[in-house]
Amino acid sequence: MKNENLRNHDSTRGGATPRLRLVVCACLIVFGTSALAQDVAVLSLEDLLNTEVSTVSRKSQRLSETAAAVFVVTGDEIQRSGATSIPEALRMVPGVQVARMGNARWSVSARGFNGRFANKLLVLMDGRSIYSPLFSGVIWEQEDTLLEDIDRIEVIRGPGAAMWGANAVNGVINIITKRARATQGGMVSASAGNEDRAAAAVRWGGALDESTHYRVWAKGLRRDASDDQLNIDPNHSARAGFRLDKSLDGGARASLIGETYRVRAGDAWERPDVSAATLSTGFVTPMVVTAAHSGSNVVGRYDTVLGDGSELGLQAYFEHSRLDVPWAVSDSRDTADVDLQHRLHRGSHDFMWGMGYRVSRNQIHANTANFSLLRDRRLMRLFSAFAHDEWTLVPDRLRLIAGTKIEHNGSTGWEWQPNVRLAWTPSETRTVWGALSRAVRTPAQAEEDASLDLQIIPPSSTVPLSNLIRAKAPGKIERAEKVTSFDLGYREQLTSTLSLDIAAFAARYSDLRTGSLPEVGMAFVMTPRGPVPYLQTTTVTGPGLEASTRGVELAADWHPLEAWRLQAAYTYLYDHISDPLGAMREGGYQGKTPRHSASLRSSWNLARNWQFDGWLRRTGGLQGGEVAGYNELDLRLAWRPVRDLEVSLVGQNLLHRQHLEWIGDYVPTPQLAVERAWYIKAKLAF
Amino acid sequence: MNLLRYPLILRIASGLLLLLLLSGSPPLHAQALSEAQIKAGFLYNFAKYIEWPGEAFSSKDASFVMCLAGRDTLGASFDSIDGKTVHGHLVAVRRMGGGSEDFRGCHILFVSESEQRRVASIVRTGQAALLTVSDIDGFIDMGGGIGLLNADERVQFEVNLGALQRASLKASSQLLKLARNSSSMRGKN
Repeated sequence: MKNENLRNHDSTRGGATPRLRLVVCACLIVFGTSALAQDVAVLSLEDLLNTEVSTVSRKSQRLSETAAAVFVVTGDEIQRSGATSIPEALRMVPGVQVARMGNARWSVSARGFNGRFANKLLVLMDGRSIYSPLFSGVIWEQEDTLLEDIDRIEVIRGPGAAMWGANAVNGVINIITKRARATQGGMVSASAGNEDRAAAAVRWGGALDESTHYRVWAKGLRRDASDDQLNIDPNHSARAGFRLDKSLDGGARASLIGETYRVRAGDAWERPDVSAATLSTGFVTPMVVTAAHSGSNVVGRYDTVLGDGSELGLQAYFEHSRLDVPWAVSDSRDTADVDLQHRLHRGSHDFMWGMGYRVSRNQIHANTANFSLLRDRRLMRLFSAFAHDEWTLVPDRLRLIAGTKIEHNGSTGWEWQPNVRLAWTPSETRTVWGALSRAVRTPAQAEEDASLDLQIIPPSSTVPLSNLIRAKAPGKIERAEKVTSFDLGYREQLTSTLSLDIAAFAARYSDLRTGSLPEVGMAFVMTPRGPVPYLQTTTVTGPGLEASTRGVELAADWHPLEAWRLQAAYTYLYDHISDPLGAMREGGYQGKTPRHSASLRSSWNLARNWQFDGWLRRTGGLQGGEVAGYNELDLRLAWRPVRDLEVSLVGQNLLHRQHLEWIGDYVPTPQLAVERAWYIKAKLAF
Repeated sequence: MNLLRYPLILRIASGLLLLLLLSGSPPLHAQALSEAQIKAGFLYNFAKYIEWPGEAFSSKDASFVMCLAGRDTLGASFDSIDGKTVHGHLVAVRRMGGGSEDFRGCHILFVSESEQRRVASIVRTGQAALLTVSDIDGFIDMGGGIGLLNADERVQFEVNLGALQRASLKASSQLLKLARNSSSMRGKN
């Protein structure tokens, strides 16, 4: 009925039926575009609602004026990439290094220093930090959400703008989910494949009243082991969550977002074993374990506009998480965090300040002889505050941004992290920016408390005894890791279909974590043949390394045709780690970042209801050639027989039967390669 | 020809090619327009389906003024509405640039994404007979009149009835029915 009304309304004006006009329009798209613009006004509301968008403009255009190295991955791009996890989607981002270890583990970092326990990147999901205070990194196998609900992932490379939290040394990743209003109605999806064996998701969104919307969702995934014979790392996960958004009078908004999850991920640790070494049966005892992760969290956020027009945001979250690795460690943690932000516009100043307090308590047990902890309970408190002013010196042309964050933590005390930025926009389509910033990374609990057997050096003709290398807990680390970075960037919308973004940086690091000068002692191990002597080399974890990095990151976005989009990214990174003490540990930073990496994505709308996407990646070699450079290709074909149903076929890592991306670091693990994969997926909206 | 003897990648590629051939050339009515065109089309339609109070126009011949605040994301599509008629008034389009705060004389104000940080203060001016429209996330939650959002490769809109009432604007029931949030507004109609 409603359609009839609108159509009639429209056709009284023009004569021809709207459908006919639409055909005319479509022909015009094919044969020329300038004439088309004149026909926009003849389209009825209903036609407009049903018209597909051919060129989705970059979701966050405002970011194009940001004085930082920013890249945004939109939800649509994640869908079209065929990615089934967040780290996979991050491969699109220039300056971010992603390596997969088999099917369950990831190394993700920005601007170098990558590793399974990479610790220089802050990751937030809807405002909640998913950075584990235990080892100051992200347990990627545990973090996920319904990918369809992700609105965008904003990635800021370089020391995070002053307002971001602690440990944003090399970058901040901000995962933002859609508002509940944007996910109304139902959605079910199911997929099956050779690696991601089976996955299913369901979501329902509804409205409680005009201003209150919600969604609830659940998702399950069964992923195969990367090597079927070894069968080390199958992983299964189940999670469910909700989001509730309410708009209140006067432009205030409130949101409540919650999630609960359970993940089981297989892993193998190669435990240095002295008795095995002395018996010459090998130097490691492989342990195949299944790590169990579970947790729940809830985030509440309230934003309002005060009487003077300034904006106030208040956020709080609570989180409980549990990690159990049989024969190794079990950890139970509770975190509470409150955060306040206030933003005022006064003339040419856009001033923002805020403060936050986080308290995190855990109980941890080490269940192995190779790994011990000084304290099995810890309470960590973190206070932070920031102030930040964006001063428009010349309207629409020149902005100066200056700010600092100060924070207080139990280990290193007060830390301050200032930055100053300048953005020049000579025209609406061009931005040149520069920044000088400093950031710190505060010590992780594991660095202060954990003693760990790292490896055994076998006896040789010069040293006839086995040598066990141990990292010893210092109890407290007095100095935080520091970085000072200089960044320069250039962004230009060259034509209406082509844009370019270049960032270059040089950074110096000091007090990076390493080990002290080693002390060598002798110890005995009891064996069936009696006590056998061996050497024990101990280094104490502490600050010591220096490093410098420099690099260039490039992103280009081109629409050669209305229906075809190409996105290219290239990263060059040079790193030099200097180790004045010559300690053997964490020289492990060396060779962990490819010198060159590149990616080319193509998204092509073959026809109204067909999409064909391709993604070619090149990653340079690592660890002095131990991990060879590789090229890989993903392809996706999607078909929409009707508007609400999408069927897609995705092939991942198609160029090789299997390829290696990473070898275990810190905790020795067997090498697990990434295999060629495919899956078929159906998604129905109702 | 035994396809199975070729590497997987070739098999996939040939499969895709086959699918392509089967799917044929794109149908003529491939109804895709650029986002800017669709959004400009919406602005024009909002003008048609919403009633402005008489005092919003200084005279019978006064123009219906559509303003754009911030970075011009609509471009030529915005210009294409210039000179059309709504409610017997000629449409005049006007670009306000970033930073401007005076929207007197505008009937519709499209707030570009570049103005994200000023949204709160723009919608707070609460000027009578001004319809604010934007594609900024959660625009109507912040007090804006009509929000445009991308969903499912289409552009949809949602209406903030309260804001419209405060601005003395009357939306036709057809418009409200097609709004994305029509179900949640039903109680109020």
